[in-house]
Amino acid sequence: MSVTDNAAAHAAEDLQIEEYRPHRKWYRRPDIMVPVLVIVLVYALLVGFVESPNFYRTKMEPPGGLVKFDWMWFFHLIPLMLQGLLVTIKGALLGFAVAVVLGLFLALGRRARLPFVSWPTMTVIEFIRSTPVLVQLFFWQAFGRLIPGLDFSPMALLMLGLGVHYATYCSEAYRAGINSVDKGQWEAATALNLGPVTKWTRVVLPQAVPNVLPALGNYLVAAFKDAPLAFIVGVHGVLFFADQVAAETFRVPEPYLIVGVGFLMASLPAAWAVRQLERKIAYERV
Amino acid sequence: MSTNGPSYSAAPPEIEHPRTKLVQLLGFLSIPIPLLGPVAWWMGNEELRKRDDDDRAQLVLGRTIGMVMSILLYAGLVLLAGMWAVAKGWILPFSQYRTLVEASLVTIQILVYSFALGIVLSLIVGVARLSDHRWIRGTALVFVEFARGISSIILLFIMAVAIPILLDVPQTSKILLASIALGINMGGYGAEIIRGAILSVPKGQTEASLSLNLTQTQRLRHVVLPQAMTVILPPMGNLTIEILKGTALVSLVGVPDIMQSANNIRQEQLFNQAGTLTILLLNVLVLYFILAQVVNVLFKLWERRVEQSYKGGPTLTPEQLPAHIRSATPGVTG
Repeated sequence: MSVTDNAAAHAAEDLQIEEYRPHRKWYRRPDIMVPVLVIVLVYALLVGFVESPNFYRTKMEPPGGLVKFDWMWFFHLIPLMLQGLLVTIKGALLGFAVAVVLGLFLALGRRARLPFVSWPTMTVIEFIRSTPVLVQLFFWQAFGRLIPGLDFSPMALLMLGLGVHYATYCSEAYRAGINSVDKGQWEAATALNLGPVTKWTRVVLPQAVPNVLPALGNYLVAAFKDAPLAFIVGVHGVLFFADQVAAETFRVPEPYLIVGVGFLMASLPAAWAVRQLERKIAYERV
Repeated sequence: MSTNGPSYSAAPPEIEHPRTKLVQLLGFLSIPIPLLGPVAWWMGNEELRKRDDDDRAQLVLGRTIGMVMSILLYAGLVLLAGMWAVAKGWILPFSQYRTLVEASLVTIQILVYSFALGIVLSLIVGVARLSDHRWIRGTALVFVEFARGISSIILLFIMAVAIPILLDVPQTSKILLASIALGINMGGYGAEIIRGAILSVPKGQTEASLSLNLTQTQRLRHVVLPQAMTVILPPMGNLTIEILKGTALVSLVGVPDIMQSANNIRQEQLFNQAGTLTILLLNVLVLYFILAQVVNVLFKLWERRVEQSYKGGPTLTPEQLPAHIRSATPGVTG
């Protein structure tokens, strides 16, 4: 680091550049701010403006019963499928937002030196990680009905179920990231007599979080793959669309296949973007 | 351990840190008041970590008493929670447990089928992704991207609902269709695991087997894959648990697995006006947790076996060698 800085400083002297700033603040760097802004905008658009349609009606009569697969009908379903897909994406994003925050606290709880904090946290993480998210969604629904006055909307149930489930995965990722911070950094923080809050927020987490970003991205894609499941608690996502259309028109193969195609169209670019991020971060770390 | 003066001339000075006394006091007080046990344990640990002087023994004593008392406290709490669970009706009637366990056999059956299919697919595709032929590599890549990109539940619905209509498959083979869907999903992830593991085997091994004139199949079967096993097994165990979790989805297409029988039990509960859904689902969660732990332990045992096979034994003298090895290796017999 210092070597390159010196070299850059010498280069700056040679070229007689007036103002040389080797370290720009992160919020003044376009290579960080442009992706962040784009992500925030897309996130806000998806979360704020996507409304789940209450029903899926097609304007076209389905073909008769003897036709096995009708391409016109298949293409006709695309707009309705996209509506459902947007709702599913919104659910995945909301759930993952819960997971990212909750996961950090779980990771900190698991690292606690007090065994009476770390053991129960570990047990809870292990329990939630190894049980199906389907049963957990049903459980949260039943739990919400048990307590009077607590009325979860379907989207809130999806957020809760998906968020808690993936928080345990995220906590594992955070733990790996925190462990990957060099031991010297901890010692330096102790030597500088930094308090625990300063040590975590200024020294450890800024170095741990970039390393775990690819893992978090992978879990976001995984959460997106689990999100259509929420049709069982009444979220009007892709599978709800397929169910509804199949029940109304008695044409089964087309809606399910179009859902599969639409899902691939969304998840493959997401997975590709995560791989690019992984490559970029791996490159920067070298 | 005073190093200042000659140790024989005077007794070592008494070091009595105020914290030591506190830890000891807390330790002894935790015998009548067990709630103080964890505090004594934690504080003793902290002091032992921070300081290195003569009162370690006293600290260890205080900490140990605190530790024992807190374990007793924890056991008591667990016992109380268990009694509370029984009293509150958190335990289901025995007949319902029998239904759940019988249904878990179907879940295990689906798990075994999809595991078998998944292993075969991941071996074939994982090796094909490293093939020299461009078309084979491309096809394998398409399969992996498809299997990983599509959600297992959507694949399940396509497999169990759409495919029977398109291809005129009889509806009776739902279990098989569901296992195929889960197996394809597992194959996609497993192929990447196996590809990574094969790449992690040192290149010298491949070169050595080439120089020994092994065929490609022999090289893979006897040299590369056995060494890749240690890398394959831990993620494969996690993947199997993921598939176990995925089997809960098959109840949505009408396979009588654990969740389906939980629905039946719920109908029974509503009919009898006894029991709540939350407790039932909690029990189902615990059942899945136990199944997952069994899978976990099986994979741990397998890992240990593989690791031990690489450890190697003691060097044997020619007399200690088994007879058939001695006859096969002419130099040893002497």
